[in-house]
Amino acid sequence: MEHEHKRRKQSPSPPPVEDAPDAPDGAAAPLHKCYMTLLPLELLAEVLSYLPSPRDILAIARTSKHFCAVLANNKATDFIWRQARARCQPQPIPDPTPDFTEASYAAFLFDSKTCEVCQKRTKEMYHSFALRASEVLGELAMWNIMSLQDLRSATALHRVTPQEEVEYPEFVHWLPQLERRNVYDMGVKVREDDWLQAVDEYKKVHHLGEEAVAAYVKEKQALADLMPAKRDLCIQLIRWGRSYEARRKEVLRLNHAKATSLAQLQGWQPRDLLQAPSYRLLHHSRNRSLEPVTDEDIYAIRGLLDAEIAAHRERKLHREQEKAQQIRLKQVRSEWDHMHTRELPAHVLPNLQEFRKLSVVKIYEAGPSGSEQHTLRDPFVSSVLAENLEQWREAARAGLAAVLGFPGWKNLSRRRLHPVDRLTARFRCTRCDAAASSGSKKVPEDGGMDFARACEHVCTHLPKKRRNKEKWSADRFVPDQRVLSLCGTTPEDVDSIRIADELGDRVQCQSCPCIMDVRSVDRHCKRHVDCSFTLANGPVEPPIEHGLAKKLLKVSRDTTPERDQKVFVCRHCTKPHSSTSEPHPPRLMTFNGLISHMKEKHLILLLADEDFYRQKAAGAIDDLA
Amino acid sequence: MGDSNRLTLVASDGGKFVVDKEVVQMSVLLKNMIEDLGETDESIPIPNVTSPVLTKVIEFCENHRTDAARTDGPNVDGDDARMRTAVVSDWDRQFFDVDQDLMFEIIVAANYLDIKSLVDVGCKVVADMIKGKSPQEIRDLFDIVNDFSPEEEAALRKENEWANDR
Repeated sequence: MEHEHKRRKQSPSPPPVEDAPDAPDGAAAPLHKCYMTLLPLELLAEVLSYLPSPRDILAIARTSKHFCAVLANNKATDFIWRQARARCQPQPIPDPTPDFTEASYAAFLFDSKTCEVCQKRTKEMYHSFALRASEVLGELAMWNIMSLQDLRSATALHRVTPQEEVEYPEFVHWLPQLERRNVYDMGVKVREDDWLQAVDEYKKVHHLGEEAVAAYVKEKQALADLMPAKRDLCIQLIRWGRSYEARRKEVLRLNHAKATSLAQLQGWQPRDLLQAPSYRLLHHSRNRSLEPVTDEDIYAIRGLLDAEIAAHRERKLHREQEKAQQIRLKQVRSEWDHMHTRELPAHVLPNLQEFRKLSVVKIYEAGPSGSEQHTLRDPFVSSVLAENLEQWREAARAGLAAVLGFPGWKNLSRRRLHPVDRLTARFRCTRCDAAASSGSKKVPEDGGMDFARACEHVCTHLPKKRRNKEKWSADRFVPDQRVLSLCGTTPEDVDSIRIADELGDRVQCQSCPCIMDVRSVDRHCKRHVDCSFTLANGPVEPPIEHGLAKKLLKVSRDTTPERDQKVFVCRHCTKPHSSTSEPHPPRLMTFNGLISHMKEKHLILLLADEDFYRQKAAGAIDDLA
Repeated sequence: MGDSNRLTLVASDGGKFVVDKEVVQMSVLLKNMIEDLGETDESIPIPNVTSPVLTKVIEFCENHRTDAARTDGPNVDGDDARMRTAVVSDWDRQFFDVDQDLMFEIIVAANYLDIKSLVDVGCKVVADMIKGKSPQEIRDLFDIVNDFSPEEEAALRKENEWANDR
């Protein structure tokens, strides 16, 4: 029924409520009215007179400033709290000492506390009301564990020794002390902090002279006068708290059993029932008010439960499916990464987006409920995946062969390479070129792509969302045939790749001092308007670390330490531009420094492997010099 | 000439209701008024109560007319320590299964007309809604605006915030 009360009023103009403040003329009507706030005090008091505990009145007092002012800071409404204390079950709450307000007393009793030993929030009553000590600390004290060396010092209790009682006889009369006594140890126990502070204060005061001592004695006497009443209250509260806790635990047990039996009766999961908003609210509010959930309570919300539990289950299922899907997406990504890092020439891979479009991957990602236990590495799945990939490669191969001018190419001789595998088979992406030439987008200088790179090419200048939707197509590529015939082989020669690779880093640019391998020529020749190459007598020294520039240009947490090392040397500076000029001694730079250096000194915007080398050992500098 | 056992009540918006005197007399205010006026055919205006609210109030009084004798008995309200946990009957619960604003208007009208049993039931229903709830749940339930500043709210959340503040 409580939910029914939350419905908004249907009629367009609600009649004014008695005592409602008049809205100023012309002022906009408020969006909603809080009728509870507009209740006259006499009716509010009447409503509150049916509440079973000051805990509920405290909750209302904390809802807004209005109720705080009416209930918490108003002596005229103390009677409401007094009556609530008298009605509290299973026993009335004892009257507080004068140093409490009614609200503070209720907060003292019912607010959740943080255990100073285990730091957990607890709704249980204090073990010691005088010391405001949690159950755990109290238990430790009961077991005479006074020195809590492995815990915070603030939690320690101090047992006043007979000698201390003689030395500081007044302290036990005004310091708050543990009201529960251990039958094995009847000594007085106070908080360690309180004791040390009191001793400190006592010593200081006695150094200040007669007047200070007199004031000190007067102050402590006032505290000592209040102490018997406080002690009595704490002892009463312990008795009350014991019965309250017993009742609370009993109600928790009953309500849990009620929820379980209802769930079993209806064929629900108890957890699902407790997650249904209506039942959760009912369950928790009854637990707090120490009242068992009744059949009438359940009847009032019964109509809502089926829909709420169904909605909860649906949300839960949806969450689980989302989670499973995320896992599968990650697994596909990691499988693609794994296949990608194998770097076998036979394993030319499509880019990730295309990989996800393969039929077996698509089915795996969609994830019907029965396939959770399968992975892409299951023998059957991986064989289907391999087949899918092979089909994709064949299609890509045929498409790119057509781009090179070999539509429907058939391999008639084993001595002839497939057009896309030839050294001359280089591709450029028309879309990236267009973006680069328009200057609207920053497109990385990619040079020509071989077959493998063309297959995994992604137009990085596109926004991420569009990039993911793009379909790879061979039609997007044009041939880029700039590979030089320096190796003494022909494009069709089946051994041309091996011959080029065996040549090593011997191709020397005539326009700059760079020496590189055949595969780098295509990219390098874009640096110069008119570019020609010769073959050097021997490989470049120190040898080129292929792939180092690409790796370090990716700024990531993994590469940062490498980038920050001051070990990089510019080859342009260390090599003479002509036979007559002298080489410069190597200057060590960080990778970022090297990039700046290249831009400034050599006008090279995109670093390549042939532009620099990494000094392997510090001692090698002297050798080079 | 009208029926001497019935009289007409006029709501603040002009709505007229012909009701048995026995039913009307559940309201201490109207009962005293009838006694003061004596036998009369004149309508009795109820200036603070609108027609929808008066309809509900009359519905309650008609249903509880047989209980009226209880209110003439000893003053049970004088005892502060009485148990105020009496269960609300199914009919009463159903009766108050209305919009929140109408529910509060009925309680306010019952208080004005001095119909103790209706005030009691209304207050019990509201109390039942509040019982065991946290401040936020109460705010949500009654559309109470939390006008505490974040600092004040943080202080409220602090353990035993109000303790020993006197």
